[in-house]
Amino acid sequence: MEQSVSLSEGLPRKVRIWRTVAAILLLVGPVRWILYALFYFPDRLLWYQFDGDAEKINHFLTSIAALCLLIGWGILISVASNRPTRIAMSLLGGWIVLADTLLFAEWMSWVPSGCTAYAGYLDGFLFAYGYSTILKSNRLSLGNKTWIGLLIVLMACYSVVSFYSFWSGDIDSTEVFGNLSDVIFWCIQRVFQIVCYWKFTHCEAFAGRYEDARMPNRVYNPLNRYVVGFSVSVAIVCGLLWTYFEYAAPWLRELM
Amino acid sequence: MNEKMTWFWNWEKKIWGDRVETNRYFATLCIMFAAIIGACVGGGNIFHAWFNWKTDVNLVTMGFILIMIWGCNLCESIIASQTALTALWRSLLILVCLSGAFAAGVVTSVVVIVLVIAWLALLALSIFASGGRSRSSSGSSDGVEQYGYDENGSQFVMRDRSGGYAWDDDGRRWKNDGGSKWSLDE
Repeated sequence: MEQSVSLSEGLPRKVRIWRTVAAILLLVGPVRWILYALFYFPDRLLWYQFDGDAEKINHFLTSIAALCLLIGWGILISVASNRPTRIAMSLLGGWIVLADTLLFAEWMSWVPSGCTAYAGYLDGFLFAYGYSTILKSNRLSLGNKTWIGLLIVLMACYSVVSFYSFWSGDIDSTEVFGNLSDVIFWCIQRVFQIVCYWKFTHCEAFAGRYEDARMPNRVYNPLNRYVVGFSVSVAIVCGLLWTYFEYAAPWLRELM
Repeated sequence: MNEKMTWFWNWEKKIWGDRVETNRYFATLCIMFAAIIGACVGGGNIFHAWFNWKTDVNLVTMGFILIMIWGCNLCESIIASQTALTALWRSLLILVCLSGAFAAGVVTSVVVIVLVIAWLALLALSIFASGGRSRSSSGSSDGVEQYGYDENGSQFVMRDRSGGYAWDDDGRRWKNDGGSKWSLDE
């Protein structure tokens, strides 16, 4: 029941261009994060304009990255191949708008700080659901399927950190986060995200030639192996981290 | 190069065939990263212990990263496997491979550092020894011994020849009269 346009039929030039533009816009966020983490690069360029106010620079660049993501997402919705893909992308796009609005409201102190953290808990589940709908409703090549699956895996990383920070509340953040090893880990994770986004935007689900035919409801069922796998792995890793920080970390600190 | 980046994927294909549909590179790169982390832990702590360099690694962070890496592979195993049992076995196999790669990284880095330091020490010793031998020999830049003869006709080896002068083993200075002719410089 999956349907999609076979890429072997050839894509219109316009669709190819739009997909590439969408990919570049989606990549702004992770590329900016890597440059910021390793070289503090974009912020240095704007230092003088903002009189060295680091927080304002950070907010400005985060806003640019969010805007690029939204525009890229909108382009992908326009070149979706079928109805479930368009619905999933619209759902995720709406969530991105809501999350970014919350983030802006938090910067302006219109809402209590920490609101975006609560939004972060839903983030992973929604994206896992959206990506799973796209996976189930399109006849994707095996390679593209695995790369989109990796997007779900990468969302699980963020969700683990969000959940664990909320649950434990007592992680010594300077011990685990922010040091060089942690930065390198998240940079590599962003590199994977860059490759995954590129494959995602160039997969069969965004080949234009929109097919509006209805699909079976099972395509929209959230109880699929992707969402369940995401949830189970996040729960297991959170449990593992709790055990680690409770029992193993004190012993390791003594060794250092 | 491609084979090196996908060896784990090739291995799991032989074990489970089409029952897993995982990314070709992800698991292999994760295992290689675990080996690099192990090398950083082993090498960094050795340099800190021996030379007091600030290269020691935060073990708590490394443990956290390894758990996150295994967690990512666990998630991939579940979403890419046809059955729960396959996902479970693949996750356990990844756990074994990650632990083994980490341990191999620690051991290899320590062995490599010890071997490199031993090699550098032997090199320094050989340079020192050969430098001493060359000073106690003719001391000439061209390696050919030259001789001077005093008024009694006794032969002396010319050492440390430079600037038209040389010294014999008794410490007397000789002057070059051209070519290989030397006369005692009074």
